[in-house]
Amino acid sequence: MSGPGLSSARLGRIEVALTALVAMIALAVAWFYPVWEGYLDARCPLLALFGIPCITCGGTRAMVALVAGDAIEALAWNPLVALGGLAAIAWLPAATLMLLGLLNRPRIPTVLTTAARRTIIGGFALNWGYLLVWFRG
Amino acid sequence: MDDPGRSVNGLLETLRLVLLSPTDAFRSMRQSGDVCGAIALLLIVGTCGSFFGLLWQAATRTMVGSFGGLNFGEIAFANSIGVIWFIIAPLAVLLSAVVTAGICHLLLLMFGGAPHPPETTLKTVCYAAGANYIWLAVPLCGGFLATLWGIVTIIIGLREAQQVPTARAVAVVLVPYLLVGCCLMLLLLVFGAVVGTLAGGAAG
Repeated sequence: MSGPGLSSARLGRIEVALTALVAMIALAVAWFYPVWEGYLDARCPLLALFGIPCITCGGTRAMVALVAGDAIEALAWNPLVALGGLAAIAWLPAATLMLLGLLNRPRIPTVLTTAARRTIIGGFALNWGYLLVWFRG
Repeated sequence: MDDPGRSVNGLLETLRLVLLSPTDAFRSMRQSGDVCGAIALLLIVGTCGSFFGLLWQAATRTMVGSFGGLNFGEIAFANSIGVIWFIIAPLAVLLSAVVTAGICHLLLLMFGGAPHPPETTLKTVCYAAGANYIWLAVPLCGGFLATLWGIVTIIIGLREAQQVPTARAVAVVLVPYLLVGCCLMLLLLVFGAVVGTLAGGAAG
């Protein structure tokens, strides 16, 4: 992401470890879904009341499908969350290698390019548009 | 702001600075290093604050439960969930701070850039959010105070530590709340339309 004229800073070791911890817990929570499923009935109020999904609707089912090995179903439930889950899976071994000093820690830019900003906003908007169609069907 | 994790006096002084003089506190904070000190403060104050918060919740649940005719076993079962929450409180406050710092840093980048690395944002969130857990020791309105002053402290912290304009710091912290607020506004609009339609149908 670092280009000419853009400065960047390398991600610290503690941040790498903490993000790996977050990724690990997110995957573990999805893995143990059958255990806590009955105790926590967290439904999206927007979807339940008006049939309009929020941007994270289907996220839990996407993560559960992903840890069960069904990436296609995960992408169908919520593409953005599924991609986040895939990134979390990829981040765990990468973070381990970074902490062991076998891989360079990524550099985070101090400024995002306009194209990067548009991609992020567009990604969120497309995901929400897809969810509006998916949950209507 | 010195590393507060090594003595009780240092911890109390850091809490006093962050809560009462946040501008000075974050202006004097070193932008790099000392992340462990900030995490230590977050874990210590966050766990203690969560203990009191859960204690007040249990007391309220017990009072309401006894008025509502629940027996001792039912109240004890409801309160046992609070014990589980207390056990996972250190992990929960840490994860919450990491996710908040991640969202804040991403939004800083989206709104024009973050001159300092993610480490600075993480430290700021750990100090600001961690110190504000102390409000949970106040019964009834502690959660409200912690949320409200926490937002103010994180805004001031990001402005001073990341050296960004106040408007950008405000936008970074409030945009997630505004997005939730927009969802609520949407709900209110739909609710209003439904009520209007029903009222029109009844009149016709």
